[in-house]
This record gives sequence, structure tokens and C-alpha cells, in this order.
Amino acid sequence: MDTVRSLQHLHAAYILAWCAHLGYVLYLVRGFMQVKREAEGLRKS
Amino acid sequence: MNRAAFTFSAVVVAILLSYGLHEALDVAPTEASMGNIQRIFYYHVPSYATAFSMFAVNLLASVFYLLRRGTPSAAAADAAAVSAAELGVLFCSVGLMTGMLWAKPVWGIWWTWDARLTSTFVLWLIYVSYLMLRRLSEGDQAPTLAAALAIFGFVDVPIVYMSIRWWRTQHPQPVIFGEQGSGLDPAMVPALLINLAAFMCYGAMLFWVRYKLERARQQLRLAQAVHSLELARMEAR
Repeated sequence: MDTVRSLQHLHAAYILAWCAHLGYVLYLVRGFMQVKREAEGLRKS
Repeated sequence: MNRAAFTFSAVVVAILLSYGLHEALDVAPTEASMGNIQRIFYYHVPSYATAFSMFAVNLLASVFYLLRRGTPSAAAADAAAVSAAELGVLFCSVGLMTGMLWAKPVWGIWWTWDARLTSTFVLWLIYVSYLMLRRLSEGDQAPTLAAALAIFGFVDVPIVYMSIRWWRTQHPQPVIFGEQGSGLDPAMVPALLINLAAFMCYGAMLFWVRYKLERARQQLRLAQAVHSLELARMEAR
């Protein structure tokens, strides 16, 4: 049954899962910003 | 999808995920032998279900790409394939990570090389290789080679799914679509179904955003190529 360690693992699983998803969303935002910056650079040149 | 529709979808997905989290942590009953650690199940299974769906989208898009190579729709299929593969790796990584965090308190080990875990790790490696091929190779052949790899890579998906039926494994036998008497406690089913629906909707939304990013990158690369050609032509005059 439950031990302190097993509850830590449960919380870690949920927190790490959402950290991975949040990291991916930030990666997507960075990707869009990079495309926008490069498109503006191209338009200026 | 316009901005209003996207915002509406994002709100619906956020509500579904929040409700799923509440069901998994607060409402679903505590499993008798494992205790609360079993609640990892409600993220572990939906993560893999979404990953497998993404790998299936990657397969279909890759086949479409190979059939329609050289046509305008091939670029869209290629964008869909790479988007699905990336999301498949993300969800598969979450599945592997949650699985290891579940295994340590229950089995006493983080990892074992049984058929289910090994075939899943191989699946993850195949699609990481696919993404590395896309990222590191240059030239027109890269999408074609990646599409061929995707078709062979998907062969591992049914092997992963069937591994706990075909071989005796450390990983538990199936609780969904398993043998008689192996099913999930009916009180746990709503939490699983809500999280499955939430993860699928969340995966679909991320896929759409990633697809739009890939299409924008394709258009930018095309514009850069046209710009370089124009510069070269002007210099030649």
C-alpha cells in the first residue's frame, strides 16, 4: 500500500508529465516566433 | 481554424484535462493492492493511446506522401507526417517516464528488459531516429527516406500492443480488451475514459498547431529559395 516514496512517485509522474507538455508548448511558441522573425527579415531584404 | 475556434477548442481541452485530473486523483477508487500509486495508470494509458494514434497518423501521411510525391498535396502530407511523429515521441516519452515512476515502488526496479518495455523502447528509438533523419539530412530525398522509415517503424506498434498477450512479461496482462475476469474495476472506468478523451483532444489540438508551424516553415523555405534565385539572377545581369 501507500508509502511516502510511492506518493512521491505518483506526484512526480503527474508533475513531470505536465512539465514535458509545457516544454513542448514553449518549443512550438519559439518555432512560430522564429518563423515570424525570419519572414520579416526576408521581407526587409 | 480561425483564432476564435482555436481559443474555444483550447478552453474545452483545458476543461477536459482539469476534469480528468480531478477524476484520476480525487474520484477514482484507490486500488486494493498497489494503493494510490496505481493512479499513474490514468496518465500512463492515455499517453500511449495518443502516441499510437499519432504514429498511425504518421503512417497514413507517409503513405499518402509516397503516393503523391511531386504534387502540391505531398508537402501537406509531409508536414502532417513530421508533426504526428514529433507528438508521438512526446506522448511515448511521457508514457515511458510515468511507467518507470510506477514500476519502481511496485516492482522494486525502474526498468526491466521484458517484451513490452523493450518493444516500447525500440518504438521510441525508431521515431526518435525518424526525427533525427528529418532534422539532420538535407536535400529532397529526406522526406522520402523518412516516409519509408515511418512505414517500417509502424510495424512495431502492433508488436508493442500484442506483446503482453504473446509473451509472459513483468508488465501486467491487459486490463482493457483482455481475457475474461481481467477487466478494470467499473468504478475506475470513467476516470480512464475521461482522461483518454482529454488526451486525444489535447493531442489533436497540438497536432493542428504543429502542422500549422510546419506549413509556415515550408512556405518560408520556399520564399527564401525564390529570393535567393532572384538575387542570383540580378547578380548575373
